[in-house]
Amino acid sequence: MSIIQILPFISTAIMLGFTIYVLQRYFVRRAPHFLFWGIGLAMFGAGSFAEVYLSLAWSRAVFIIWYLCGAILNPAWIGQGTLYLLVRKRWVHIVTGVLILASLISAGLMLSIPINDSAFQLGMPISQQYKAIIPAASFNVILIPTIIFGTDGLILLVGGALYSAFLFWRKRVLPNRVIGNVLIAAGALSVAFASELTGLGFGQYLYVGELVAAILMFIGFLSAARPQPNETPQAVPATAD
Amino acid sequence: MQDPNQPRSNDKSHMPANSALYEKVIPAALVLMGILTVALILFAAFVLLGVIHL
Repeated sequence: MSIIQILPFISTAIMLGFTIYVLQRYFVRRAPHFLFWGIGLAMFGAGSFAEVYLSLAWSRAVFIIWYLCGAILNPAWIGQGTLYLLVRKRWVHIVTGVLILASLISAGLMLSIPINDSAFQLGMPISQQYKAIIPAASFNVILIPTIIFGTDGLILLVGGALYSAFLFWRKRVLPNRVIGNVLIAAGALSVAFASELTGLGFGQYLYVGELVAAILMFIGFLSAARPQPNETPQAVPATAD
Repeated sequence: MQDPNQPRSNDKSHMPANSALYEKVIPAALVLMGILTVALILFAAFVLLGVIHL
C-alpha cells in the first residue's frame, strides 16, 4: 500500500468509529446535535473512503461522492450540530431547512456538471488532479457552494468550539471540556487549512490534514464527553456533552 | 473540613490551580486559533469576490 492509500484509509477507519460513537449517543438521547454531527462525520468518512477507492480505480460516482461529501457538505452539517447545541431557538430549524435545500441543490449541480473521465490518472491523489477532471467552467460553478458551505462550517464548528472552550476556561470549570473543545477546533482548522491549500494547488497536504483532523476531533470529542464528578452539564454550552 | 472558599485543586471538575497549561497555553491557543479562523474566513471572502483565483 502507498501513502495515498494508507492516510485516507486510517482517516476512514477513525471516522467510522467516530460516527458510530456519535450516532449511538443520538439514538440514546435523541438530541439533534448528535444527529447532525453524525451525518457530517459520516460525510467526512465517505470522502476519505472515496480517496482510498480513487487511489485504486476510477469511478465517476465515487468521484462525485468525494467532492460532494468531502469538499462541499460535511463542514456545514457538522457545524449545524454545533448550532443546535449552542442555540436552542426555533430559527435553527429554519437554518436546517436552508441547509437541506442548499445540499440538494449542490447535489444536483454535482450530478449535472460534465466530468472528464479520461483526465483521471491512477496513482495520483485525487486532491491533486480534481481540477483536471472537472472542466474549468463547471468548477467555477461548484466553487461557490464549496466556499459557502466550508465557511459556514468553519464559523459554526471552530467558532463554537472556541466559544465553548473560552466559557469553560473563564468559569474555571470542566477542564476536560476546555481541552476537548480546543482539540476539536484545532482538528477542524487542520482540515480547513489543508482544503485551502488544496484549492491553491497544494493537494498533497489534504490527506495529512484530514488524518490530523480525524484524530484531534475524535480525541477532543471523547475528552469533552467524558463525565466529571460534580458536573453540571446545562450550566454552560459545549460542543460535546 | 474543607473550606468552600479554597480553590478545589484536586477536584477534576475544576481547573488545577497554578497550571501553566490552563494559565498560558490554553489562552494562547484560543487567541491563535481565533486569528487563524478569521484569516481563513477572509481568504474565503476574497475567493468569492474574485480577488484570489483558485
